[in-house]
Amino acid sequence: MKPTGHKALLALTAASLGLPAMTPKTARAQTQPEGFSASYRYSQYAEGEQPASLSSEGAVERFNIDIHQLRLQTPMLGNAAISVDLVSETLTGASPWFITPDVDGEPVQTLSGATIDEQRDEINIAANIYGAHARTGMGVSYSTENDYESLGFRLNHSSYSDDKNSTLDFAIGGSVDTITPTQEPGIVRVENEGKNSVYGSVGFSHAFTKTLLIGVSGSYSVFEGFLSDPYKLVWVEGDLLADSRPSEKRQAAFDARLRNYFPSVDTALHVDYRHYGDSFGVVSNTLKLGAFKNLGSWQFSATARWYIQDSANFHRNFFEVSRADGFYSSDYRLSDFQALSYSAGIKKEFGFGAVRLNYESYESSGDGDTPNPGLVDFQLVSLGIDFSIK
Amino acid sequence: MKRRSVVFYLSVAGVLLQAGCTPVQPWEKGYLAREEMMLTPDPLAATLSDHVFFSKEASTSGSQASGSGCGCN
Repeated sequence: MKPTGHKALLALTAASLGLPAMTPKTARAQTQPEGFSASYRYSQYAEGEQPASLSSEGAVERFNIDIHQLRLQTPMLGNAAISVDLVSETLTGASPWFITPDVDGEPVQTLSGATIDEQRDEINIAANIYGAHARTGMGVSYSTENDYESLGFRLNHSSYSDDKNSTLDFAIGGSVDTITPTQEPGIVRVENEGKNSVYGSVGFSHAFTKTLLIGVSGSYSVFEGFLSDPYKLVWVEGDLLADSRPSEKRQAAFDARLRNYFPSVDTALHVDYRHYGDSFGVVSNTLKLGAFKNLGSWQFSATARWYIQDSANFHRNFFEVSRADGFYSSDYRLSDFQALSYSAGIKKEFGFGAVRLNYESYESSGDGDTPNPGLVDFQLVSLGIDFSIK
Repeated sequence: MKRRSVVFYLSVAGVLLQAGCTPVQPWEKGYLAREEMMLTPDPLAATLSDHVFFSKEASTSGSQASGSGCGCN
């Protein structure tokens, strides 16, 4: 069960450098890949039905998404590597539109009238150069859907200690997005808006013992432009107005991750914690625990994730009194809520690579007296295969 | 209570620092080298999770949101 020699050293460097904030879209191995590799995942995402008791239209089916992911990676030019990630999603279903009070003043959700059919495709290309004590890379990504385009970029640099036990990571990046909402007769929506973002992050990880690895990182991001949801409406003093949010958002996050291996039971323990705050007033905490148990060429995993957030300053289910600043949203994603999710996975290693199966269940519930009726539960099933040629 | 918490956290930090003062040698890195000991063991699964949570929760990092679509649903 123990990796040995050169491979072990290479993989350790990869482990000690894999800070999440540095590797947001596609965490890449931090050592130069030894050969060509390809990974494919097919996932089905299914949201729970909107309950009849919280809906103006009875029980309504919400989103279902089919997701294909393909990742190709190869070494090149002696000390470099390039990776290409492709994502294709097909979405169908209904989405929360607005909330109105019923005769008792309780919130009732109305979903988008017609079933939405949407396609999203994304490509992400990254190149890295590997040195004796550092890795420097850059990447670009492009995502397109019927009503949205996004172009992202990033630069990253990692340097590691002589003994390869410590790693310091830096990254900067950003995106330029364009929103052209689908128009419907009788509904007034913006026609063409833009949104820009920049972020920076720094992280440190260290192998404390032969079984303990800890990584911490911090990130800061600024978003500016059209940050509202063009499809959502808000009930304000009896009128339905467009969702309206500030045109700038600043946010910061702190992440800590611990990995500990227990040789006596051939099991790795994961503990991940995240604290987040932004200028909309949202503060959140996330704790995720995981265990990965090895049995020969099989691996069985289980995780539990707990998430809790405070609402944005301008969120209410509906507004009986208008706000002086003119900002309104009844988007469930900006409400007070907490969520619990559980996942289970199986991985089987073969000579060519590995086959994986994962299942995740997510349930959210509102905090406070009147939870947002749009809060969602979902299930996610993924089947994957990895190939590598050394 | 506060003082006990401070003592606890200092103790934990002390244990970690002491452990960290003895560098792990290359030949001791077999367990650390395992895939499940990586901070992101399955990058594709992590990418998908990030995108799902970006679409369903308010707190995402700028890097997670960068270039990953509207998330308007």
